[in-house]
Amino acid sequence: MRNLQSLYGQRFQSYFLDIQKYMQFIISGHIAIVLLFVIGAAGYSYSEWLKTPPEGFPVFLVAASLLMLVVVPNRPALLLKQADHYYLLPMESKLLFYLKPALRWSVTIVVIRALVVTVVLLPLLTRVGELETSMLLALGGVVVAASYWNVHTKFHVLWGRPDALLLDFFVRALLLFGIFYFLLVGNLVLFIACLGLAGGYFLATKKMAMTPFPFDRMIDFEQQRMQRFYQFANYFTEVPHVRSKVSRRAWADGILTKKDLHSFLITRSFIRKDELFYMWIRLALLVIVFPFLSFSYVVAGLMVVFTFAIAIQTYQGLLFNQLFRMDMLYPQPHLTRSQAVSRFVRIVSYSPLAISLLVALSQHPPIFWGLGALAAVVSVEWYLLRKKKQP
Amino acid sequence: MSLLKLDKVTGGYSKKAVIHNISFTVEPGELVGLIGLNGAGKSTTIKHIIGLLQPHSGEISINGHTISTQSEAYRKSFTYIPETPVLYDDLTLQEHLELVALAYEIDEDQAKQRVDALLEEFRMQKRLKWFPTHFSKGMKQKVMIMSAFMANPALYIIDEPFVGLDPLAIRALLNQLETRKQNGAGILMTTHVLATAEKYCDKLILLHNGKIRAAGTMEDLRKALGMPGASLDDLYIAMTEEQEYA
Repeated sequence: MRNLQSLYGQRFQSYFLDIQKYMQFIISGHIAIVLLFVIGAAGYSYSEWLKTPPEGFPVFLVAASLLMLVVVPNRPALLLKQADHYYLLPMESKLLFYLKPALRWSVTIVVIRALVVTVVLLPLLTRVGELETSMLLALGGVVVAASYWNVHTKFHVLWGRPDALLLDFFVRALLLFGIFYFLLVGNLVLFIACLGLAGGYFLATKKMAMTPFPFDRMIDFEQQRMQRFYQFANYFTEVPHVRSKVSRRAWADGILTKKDLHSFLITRSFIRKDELFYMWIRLALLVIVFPFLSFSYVVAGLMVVFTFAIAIQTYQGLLFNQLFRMDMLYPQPHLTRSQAVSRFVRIVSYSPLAISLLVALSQHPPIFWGLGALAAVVSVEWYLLRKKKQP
Repeated sequence: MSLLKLDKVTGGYSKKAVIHNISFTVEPGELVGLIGLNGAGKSTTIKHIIGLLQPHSGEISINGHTISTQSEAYRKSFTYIPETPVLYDDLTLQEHLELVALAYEIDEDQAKQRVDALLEEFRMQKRLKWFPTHFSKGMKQKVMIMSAFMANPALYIIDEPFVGLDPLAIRALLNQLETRKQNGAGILMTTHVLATAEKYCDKLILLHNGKIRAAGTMEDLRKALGMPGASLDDLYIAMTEEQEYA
């Protein structure tokens, strides 16, 4: 019989490949371009700021808060699947062999994240906070221990007291902040007191987790965790196993058409599917805001890139990936679904572009916004034409 | 002219045929049961009828229309209730019914009349604004059933309709089928609930390994299998055993 430890290993491998697959889309997406600019600008501003920091800057308060915020929201990646309720139940007594590597991996992830933040904070802590190397090493050790404590405590509470998740969040946040803050300010008494409280809390939560393993609940939590990642990845590419969250948005009922079969479905999907709707809001706002930048050629380029991004993502989001939909059987009107989607894509792509042009009119020379708009329209039409030719 | 006519239909999901030389008809006012084991070819047959699969050979017509020549008229002539409910996550129950009215060009007054009656019969009046994510399996199936009856076509194609339904909903469904039949509609239904099939179906088609083993009324089936007085359960088991030992 295959042991549970290797089962987790196999699951982790496919989970890692899955994450890797979607990260490629995320990193090459439009957000990545924005992030690159933001990180670059933030890094530059940070290094400039460090040269002349303001008097009395609360360096330890800020550092402790940041470290706490990085560590506290993490939950264990158990990689449990729906069928485990049935197949792993008879092996409940040996479940520890599965859970141990799961928790170990979860801790590693938190440690990596927290250490990255610690490294970013180092110049601040040494130049402004004037911390010595020995203290920095101690901080590194505490970050690792706090990450371990956080994941295990959260796991115990998920297991034994799911009704107390919010309270647990605040307790962990408070204790983590106390541990980091009192270590950094060098108040060893309060630091040790916080450590003692954290140890006590760890033991108390461990006792709560003495009940039979709650498969249903843990599987539910795990699916929620994975869905969050898939929903995020779905902003950048089509994720087959993501169930798009639907919101009623009754305020938009007035614009939901009942004109024809496809428009009926398309408008409702667009307005109600959170991923699609928020993607459009985000990109449309960017298209509208860009003309306020001072570089005309950058504005023209971004206008094209983001209008094209709206077109691609709306088109993909509206052509459902289901193998079978009931409308496939309905008496079809002359207009096909892809024609209706193309028509709708033009509306949602060109409307922010039109507003953007109005803003650009007052800010930039006509040659730039004229060329930008023309290139945006050509790119969208080229994409729609290509799609039309596909079977 | 038969309402539904399958003439020597051979087909499947790939080049390899799953159903072989299938021929049968459904006449107006007739409820026909398509019976067979899992994998016998029932769903494949249905997929060919509703146009999701193209036959390798043979012809399927509804009211004399074929899907290749008069697609819109063909599709208007039937509605389909799948075994697993297929709903739109982003449409409420009310909108699912409105969509059917739009697709089948049912005028507003008539649509309202039909919707009200169906909602009452299937006890779904209070769920009109709900999205499918909040529905149980049985409720989802009720939405599919209501959508199919809402269109009031000449032919109903129903795949395992009783799965997940509560006894009241089963009774409501059977009442609806009876009424539609009396009004001249034809019904093709697959089911594993053999007692119900025996009681309600006018004609039965026994499908085994993608071929029709026997077809006709209960009396015809008894004669074909040489089992006078046998129930559909007995005939069904005899047919499968006979094939296994053949």
